Amino acid sequence: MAKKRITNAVRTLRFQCGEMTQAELAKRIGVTRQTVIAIENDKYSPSLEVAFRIADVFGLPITDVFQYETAARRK
Amino acid sequence: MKNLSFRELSALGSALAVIFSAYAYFPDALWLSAAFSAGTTQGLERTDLVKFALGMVLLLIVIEVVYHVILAILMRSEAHEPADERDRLIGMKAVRIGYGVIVTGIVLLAGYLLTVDISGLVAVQYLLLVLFIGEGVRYASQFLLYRLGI
Repeated sequence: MAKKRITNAVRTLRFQCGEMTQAELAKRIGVTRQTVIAIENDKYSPSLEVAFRIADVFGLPITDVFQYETAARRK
Repeated sequence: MKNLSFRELSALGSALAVIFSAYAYFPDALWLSAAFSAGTTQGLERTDLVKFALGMVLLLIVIEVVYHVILAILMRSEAHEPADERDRLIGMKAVRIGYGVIVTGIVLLAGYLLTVDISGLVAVQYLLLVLFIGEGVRYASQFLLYRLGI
């Protein structure tokens, strides 16, 4: 089975959204700033609930924020 | 060290505190236990060994409290943040790793005790050592999971 990973556009969207700070996003989705940093660096895949909350903050569908990539698709 | 978060520093400090306490306690405790078993201690009683063990626990508590108070003062805003889903997940994974180490250690110790004739006092020290290693591994894996990601 091809290796899959979840990537995201949180950092880009944060800057497009009036340069929102990590602390502000963290407060709005109910996690710590360290967790936002980990999500942006692809070191942590959030729960479905937090993922929906992030998408909600940016007013986008969840698939515009998080992508599910296979190794083959990345090449 | 500068880019470490409060929780990373907390886990790292706890791991180091466990290692330090174990280093301060076990060499002498094992030697004393063996000496008691062989009856070669003069002027020392078993209660001295208990006092020594309690002293080690007290030392560990004092180190942890002082370290975390200093950390909380230096990183006030982060220290007050409640744990979120990532913190809880890392905590659970670290407990699972530490538990695995403790179970493995106990099984190995049981096997050792079945083959080698050692006193109950020394066996208790080995058991405590296994628990300490398990705790050290738990904190160390917590730190690594924060750094490397989950």
